[in-house]
Amino acid sequence: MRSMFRPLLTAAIPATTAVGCTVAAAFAMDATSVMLPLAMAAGAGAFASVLIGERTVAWASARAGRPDTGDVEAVNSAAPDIPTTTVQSSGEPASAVAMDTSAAFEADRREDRRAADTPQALPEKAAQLVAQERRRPRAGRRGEDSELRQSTPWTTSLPDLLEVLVALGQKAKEDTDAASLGYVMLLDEIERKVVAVNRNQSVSLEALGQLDGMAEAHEADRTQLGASLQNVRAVGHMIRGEISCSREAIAAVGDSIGQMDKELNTVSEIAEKINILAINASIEAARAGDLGAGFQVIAQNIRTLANDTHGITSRLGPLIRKSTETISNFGAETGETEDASNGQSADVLRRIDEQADLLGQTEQMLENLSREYAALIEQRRTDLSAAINAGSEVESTIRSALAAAQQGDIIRQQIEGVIDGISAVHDIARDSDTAPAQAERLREVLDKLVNQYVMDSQRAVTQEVLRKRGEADIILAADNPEPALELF
Amino acid sequence: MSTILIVDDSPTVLMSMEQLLRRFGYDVMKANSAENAVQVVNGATRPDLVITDFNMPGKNGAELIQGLRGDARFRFTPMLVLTTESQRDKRDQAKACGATGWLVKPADPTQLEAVLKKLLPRG
Repeated sequence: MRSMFRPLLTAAIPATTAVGCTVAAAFAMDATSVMLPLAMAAGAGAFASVLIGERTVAWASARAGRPDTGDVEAVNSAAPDIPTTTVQSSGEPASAVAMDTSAAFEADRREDRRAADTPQALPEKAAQLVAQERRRPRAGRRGEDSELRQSTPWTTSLPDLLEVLVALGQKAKEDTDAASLGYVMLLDEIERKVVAVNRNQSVSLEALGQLDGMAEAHEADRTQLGASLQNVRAVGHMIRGEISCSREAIAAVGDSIGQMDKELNTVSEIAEKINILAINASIEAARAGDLGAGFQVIAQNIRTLANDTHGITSRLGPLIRKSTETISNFGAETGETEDASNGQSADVLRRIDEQADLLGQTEQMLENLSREYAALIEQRRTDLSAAINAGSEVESTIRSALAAAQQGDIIRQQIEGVIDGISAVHDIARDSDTAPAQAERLREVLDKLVNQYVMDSQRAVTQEVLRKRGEADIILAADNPEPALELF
Repeated sequence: MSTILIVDDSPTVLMSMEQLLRRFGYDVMKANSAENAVQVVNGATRPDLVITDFNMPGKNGAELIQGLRGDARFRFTPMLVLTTESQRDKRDQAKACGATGWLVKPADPTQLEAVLKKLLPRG
């Protein structure tokens, strides 16, 4: 792969000379671009190895804020064999051009593009520049001829610039880390609040469950009340029936006693008639003399029996009358009691009916309350369920956000890649003092960067840049990326 | 409740993964390097599953897994690599070292939860 980049870098050197500064400035604005280390590597390589006079003047003057021709001459005299025609040929004073560095670079870039349009132009120009560089005295080596080194801004300013860029990259990395961590902590805070809300809603749901139990108990009470109401009504009905039965029994006893009294009178009348018959039989027996003596005895016995019967009926009569009287009295009392009883019973029954009505109304109220409770509980349950569902959706979103927070780590690693690239160029600019040595090391930078890549996205970006520069055959990123999840 | 050890040099990943795994219902232990992970697994609690980054200062995730596999206590412990690394050869290295699976950051939470349920059926 390394060899693959060598011709590319060599050819790209003049084309990217002016782009370097533009890219460096752009990096300060957008440190996360993965394209930048590549562009920096190529651009900085051009700075370090190709010292074209007019560009150096423009950059040096702009940087120093002293765009005078004296600097132009000083620098050009330090590299007398490098062409210095562009600025002057534009017809404008060097100071005016130097004031607009980016315009000068853009003009140079256009010129480079025009030059690159010729197939032989690039290698020819590169070879010419390298030859010029080789002809230059070995000045600017570490510890040697510091005069020239100090007089060429590419060797004096570039390391400073790159060092600043590395520091900016580090700062961007640290800020990314801090922002990502802060983001995760905020998510944690949000999540805790969501969990608390969900917990409260769950508690409310549990409370609703208890209310459900209470409503069920309430309904059971209502049912029991209904049963009690039925009992009360049955008791009232039974009391009415018993009162009626008592009256009928007393009347029946009275009737029986009255019937017995009548029968007893009949027996008494019969006994009286038998006695009269016995008297008559005795008279007739006396007339018959001795012949009637036996009959006289019988008549006497019949009279005795009649008298005994009369005696019994006489004794039973008062008893029956007493009974009749008692029954009558009881009947009368019962009649009176009945009136009173009827009043009392009616009162009791009325109270029972009132209680029953009251119980009925209470039952109806309870039934209505149960229905309203059930409706309220159901409504609250629906609301809470909706809230809990919303909470679950928030929870799901937070989970996705937590996973997305890993993107911060991905960006951090991309920035690290940029920092590595700039650091490598910085080391070259600082340590290598000859253009060929710098060019050699620069050639290694891209290979090293590519080998350090961990993400397909880094390889894809690099590949895209290289393809734009004509290396269509370079394959860094896989056409079919590996799956994001794989169980072995 | 199963315990998962998450190993990563990025505090952001450690914290976000910890929160994510706790929401999945797991206990979480953390280590910011392979060396730190070895200390953690020798503590009082033994992890039921390990999720490690691949590229870390010091030993990488594959080397960590290889080291843990040499310990009889972790011979059958599921070990996943969660990384931005996308090279096939790195996957193969992890697999050869005894990794159970490979996940690319950022891990999809639904996918991750499903994988964990599969590897830790006890929950």
